Amino acid sequence: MIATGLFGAGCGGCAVFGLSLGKVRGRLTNAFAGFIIGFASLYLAWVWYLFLAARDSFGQGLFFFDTSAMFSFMQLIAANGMWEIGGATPTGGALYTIWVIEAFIVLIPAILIAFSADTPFCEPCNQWSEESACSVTFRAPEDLDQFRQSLEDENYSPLFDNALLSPEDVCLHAKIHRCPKCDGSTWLEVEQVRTWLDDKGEAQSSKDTVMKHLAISRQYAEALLALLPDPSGVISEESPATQNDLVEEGFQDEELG
Amino acid sequence: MREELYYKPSGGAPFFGLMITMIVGTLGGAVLSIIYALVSITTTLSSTSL
Repeated sequence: MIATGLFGAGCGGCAVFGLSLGKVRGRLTNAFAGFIIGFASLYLAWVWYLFLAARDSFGQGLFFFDTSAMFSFMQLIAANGMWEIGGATPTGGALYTIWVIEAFIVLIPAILIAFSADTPFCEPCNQWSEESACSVTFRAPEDLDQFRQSLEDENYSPLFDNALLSPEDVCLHAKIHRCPKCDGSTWLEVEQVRTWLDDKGEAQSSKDTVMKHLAISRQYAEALLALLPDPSGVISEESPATQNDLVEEGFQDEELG
Repeated sequence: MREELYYKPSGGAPFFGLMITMIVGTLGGAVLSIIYALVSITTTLSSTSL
């Protein structure tokens, strides 16, 4: 079961890699590609499985690329059973049901992973954006809706004024996606990270997306990335630490990409 | 939430890009399928009754 899920996830990963190389950026197209690649991989897995099963059973491996021959061999397996589970050998309808469930366990992760690929793409430059994580974390706000509203209104002080020297149990992580070729396409992603110790004393964490891919100006993005935790206990003075600093330096908002 | 401020995929799907996607994805899937078949056969074939 775990191997099947991993296989499906791997097919989804292959789909995402292919989508990235092919510069395909449509959620439905991605899902369709995930389905096709998952289905093709499942078919090939059956070809290999039957080859290995035939080699083990009859002493000679045969590739069943032809679907009618493949289904005939599958019917033979279904009639006789092939393996035990809980002391019983599933055959017939039970085995077909298991195979259908197996197919879903492969296809669903492949489709979902491909569908969820949403790296921002700079259309003018025909280029995927590159992701950079902020070096510092930020204090989690009490009101996340207000926090979102502030950032949407281009008021970034909830971030600049709440940079933390060291992560807290609940804090915000920010990432910037920016086009490597132009200054126009820049997006902000913010996650709320919770960290706690489980019963065994091991650190656990969970992430919730607060906002994903909000268009922001390149200057603010660079300023966020320039914030550095300083061992002496202050945020680095080399970077403008607040939104006001940026305004005083005369930055003007650019047209958002 | 003001949706217009957030990135939305354009839906662009160039034909050549789709071909690359299918070829690369299926090649990767083919490699994974060999590994998966080997894992499946070694974990399930011990009680074969064919």
